[in-house]
Amino acid sequence: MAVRIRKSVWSLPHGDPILSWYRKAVEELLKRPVTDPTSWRYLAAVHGVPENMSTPSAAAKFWDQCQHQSWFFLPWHRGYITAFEAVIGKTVSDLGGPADWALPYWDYSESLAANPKARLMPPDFFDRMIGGKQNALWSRRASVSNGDFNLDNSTVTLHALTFQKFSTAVPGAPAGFGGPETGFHTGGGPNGGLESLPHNRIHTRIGGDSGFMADPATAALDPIFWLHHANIDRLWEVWRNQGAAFKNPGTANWLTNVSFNMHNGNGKPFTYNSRDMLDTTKVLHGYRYDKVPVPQPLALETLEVAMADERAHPELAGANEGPISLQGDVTHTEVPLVQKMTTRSFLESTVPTPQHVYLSLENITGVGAPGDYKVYIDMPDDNKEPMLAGVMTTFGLERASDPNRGHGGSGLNHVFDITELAGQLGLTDGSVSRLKVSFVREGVTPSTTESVFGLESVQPARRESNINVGRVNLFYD
Amino acid sequence: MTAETTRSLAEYQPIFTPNARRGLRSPVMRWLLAPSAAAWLALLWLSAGERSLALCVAPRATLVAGFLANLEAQLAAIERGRWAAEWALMIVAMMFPLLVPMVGHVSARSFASRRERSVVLFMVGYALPWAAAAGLSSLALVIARAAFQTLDIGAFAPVVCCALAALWQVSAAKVRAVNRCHGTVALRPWKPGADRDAIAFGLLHGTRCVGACLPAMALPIVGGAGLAQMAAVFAILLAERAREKPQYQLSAAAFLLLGLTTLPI
Repeated sequence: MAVRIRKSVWSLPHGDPILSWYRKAVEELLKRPVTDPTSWRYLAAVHGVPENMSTPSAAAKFWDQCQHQSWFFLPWHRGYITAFEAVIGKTVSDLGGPADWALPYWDYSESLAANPKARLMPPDFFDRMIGGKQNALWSRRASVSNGDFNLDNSTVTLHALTFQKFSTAVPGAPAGFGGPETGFHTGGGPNGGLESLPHNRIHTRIGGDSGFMADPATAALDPIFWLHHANIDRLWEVWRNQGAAFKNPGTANWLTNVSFNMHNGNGKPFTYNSRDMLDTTKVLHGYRYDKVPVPQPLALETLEVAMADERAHPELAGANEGPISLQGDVTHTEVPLVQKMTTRSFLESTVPTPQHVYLSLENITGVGAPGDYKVYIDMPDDNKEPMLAGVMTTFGLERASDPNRGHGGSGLNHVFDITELAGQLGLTDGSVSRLKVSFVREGVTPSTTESVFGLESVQPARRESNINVGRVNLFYD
Repeated sequence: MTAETTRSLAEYQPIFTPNARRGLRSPVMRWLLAPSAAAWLALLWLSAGERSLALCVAPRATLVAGFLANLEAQLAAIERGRWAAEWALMIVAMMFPLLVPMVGHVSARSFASRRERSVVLFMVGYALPWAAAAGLSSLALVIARAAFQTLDIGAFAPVVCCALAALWQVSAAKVRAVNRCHGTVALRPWKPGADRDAIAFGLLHGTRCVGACLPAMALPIVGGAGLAQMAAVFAILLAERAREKPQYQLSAAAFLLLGLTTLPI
């Protein structure tokens, strides 16, 4: 059989059966017992296990595997969504549908000039009732109208595509396009560029304060999750398609040393590693995307930013006094700078003339879904407009803060390249002693409260959220 | 910048991941690995002159009297200097390599001007829970040995230790303890908070380490099992830190196998 073609959901002609077959297959999977590897709840639990659900011993090596804040984020999710596509495809076929059903993707970053509806969720997913019964594609999400989850420019940005390096593992420097070097890693630490934006932000915007998409433990219960991740998977292809410099890691530690467990369309177990995920036409049944456009040629200054992680020997040049709790709409902290960088240390050397400046936020911990924060920098008392350093996404916050999970509750990290802004502020010329950093809360939309048919037992609790930032660092490289 | 200045800032990782391997050339790794290697050599040297742990005590009329006599003999046989040195060497040999990620964390979050100070304070904090564990577990060990000798089953002490270690490996508490060993906390960078936080983090991490590793170290602590078994336990501990999804059943089986090798034939 020819490989399947994944199409943009907004490019599907009105009445195209892809989504109606998807709905029928989801209805079917919802009926299956949770112990069935091809059931909706089992497949979702492979990503994360909801709080009130225990893991059967037979499922121990399959459930709760999702790789986040890791260089396995992209290959693991590729295997995951393709296995899901195989299950849905077989179900569609068994129900009398086409044999080549392929998962559509939601390209929310598409130009609004080309598609004014690109940032809206397709109606098939947000109408709660269809034909007198609950729509299986509807889910517990932020309560909005007409599928408008306020996906603004800062949410759908494709800046991540400018990262030339796939991965780094040096604190203080950006983690690259695909995420930091890790072993098997279910969350905690810094996000890769693509994972942070648009991936995390889409989760937060759609999930709201207690929707399924807001938490990795429940995210895959929402049918839109799979279209979102198909798009993230497609963006990996877009990134690679930019040229020879944009290449995947070549080491055995990424390619072969870590394997993952999954079930295929027939419910038979299989294992895969990153090397198995390099060619989409050879992943299980094989697939391609209808469009993998190359972005516009990168501007020189963008390329320069993209090269920033090439040095990756950053030295601590400033840090705030201690942990801060983000309360209210705006929280400020000041970062005193080291006035004279020492040039020698027994343990490590320092950087006398920095070429890159990074703002690093570390040990971000908390509970609930506090939403994302825009992070601004400026000089204290200079009466100038603060400048946007980046967006601190918080998807997976609670998971990363749990001391009993793999990362020991260290929380999330974010690194923003602020080289250009630092130049404007004169940070590195020795005349500045403090930097002011402001966290501006965006808030989250309250989620719907109606239970989802077939998933009544999975009710994420809406609770008060809190968030703390352990350290704010300035690194020079 | 030369290759010599490359860091071993591997705190996102357990150990022996790509990043950490790069760090084998780095000062931080040498700071931990060289003392560990030296401690292994010292233990090897000490083991060459190993004295028998079995004490010969004349039989007593009752079990209690026998136990008390054995206890007295055990306490009298302790050479405090050697005991402390062996404990210290064992901790340096087995635990320092496991500290690479956390020393990397402390190092990278410290200003260059106070980096060594922070790392030393962290190590001091780390040593304190182990010192306490050494005292308490030695007391338990002396009592256990006396009991084993009274019952005339002293030869089975190592295999009992291995069985207990295997049970601990497959417990949920063990998984939680190892997971917590991967945790970092935010350290205040400026004095005086920086000093306090470095020691406090050392204490915290040391306590977590004791919780995760002490039961597994029962065999080396009991002694008499030889350096090879100690190395085997070290390899098991290293392997479980090197992965975020350790195979605890596998390491439990390894402990049981290890126990079998200590059985008197």
